[in-house]
Amino acid sequence: MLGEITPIGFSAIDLWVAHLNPDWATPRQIAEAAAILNKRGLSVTSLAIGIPDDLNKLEPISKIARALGTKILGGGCSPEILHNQRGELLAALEKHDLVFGYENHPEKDAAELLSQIGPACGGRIGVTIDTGWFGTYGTSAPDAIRQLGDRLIHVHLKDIYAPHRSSDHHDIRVATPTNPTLKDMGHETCALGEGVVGIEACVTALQEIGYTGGISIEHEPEDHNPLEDIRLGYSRLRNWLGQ
Amino acid sequence: MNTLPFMTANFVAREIGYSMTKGWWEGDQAVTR
Repeated sequence: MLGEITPIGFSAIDLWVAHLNPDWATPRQIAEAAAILNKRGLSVTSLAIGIPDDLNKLEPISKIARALGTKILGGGCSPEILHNQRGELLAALEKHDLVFGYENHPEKDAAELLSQIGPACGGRIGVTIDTGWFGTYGTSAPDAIRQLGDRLIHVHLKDIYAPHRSSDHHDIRVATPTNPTLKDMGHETCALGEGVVGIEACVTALQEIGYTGGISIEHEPEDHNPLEDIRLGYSRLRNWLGQ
Repeated sequence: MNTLPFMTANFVAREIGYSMTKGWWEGDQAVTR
């Protein structure tokens, strides 16, 4: 997998939890992953993982994060933890020196997202924006970026084709007996710049707010290998950023 | 200069031959197994 992305030019990854899961990863596997990434010249910008319902599980997550050289977690979190166990969550993040960027999936706009995440708590809790989901809801992702401002911890830059069906607000991170496809949820991802999100305008908005963090390219087609689309998107993104 | 990472979840459908017809969890579970 890594050998396919470095020729495109990538020197960093966001590591999805399914590829190195704290529920099963052994210290040896974690060390091997770190060595392989190092050999490939790849750094890890964030772990794509949500906050577990059992906050004690942040300890094994932190071991992976530390071994791979990142502090950023980007993913979901239950409202119960965000609102009713916030003190415990903050204490755990501080204990393990982690930063959590809540990723919008069901939230329709920046105001709802900001309400969901609550105060910044010294910068420990912010947002990993998923531009694609705002596209699914017909919300301007560039405007959302401006509204989120310094609450942005990380960016999952994603474009989607025009939704052919409005989402039923199902969160894909929650398994249900009848899981719809992403396409049926109005969330068919595509190469950056090919869809309706307004990715170049998102990049402009990120520059306007002085965002200096990671901008991950996310594209998860259900029916084809994404690499050629991502190669195109990576080239466009570097051009838009002037890199 | 912003870092531009590749999201490894982009390969969610890889293990099932890019025929993910039963939603995200189908690919997630195939990768995890």
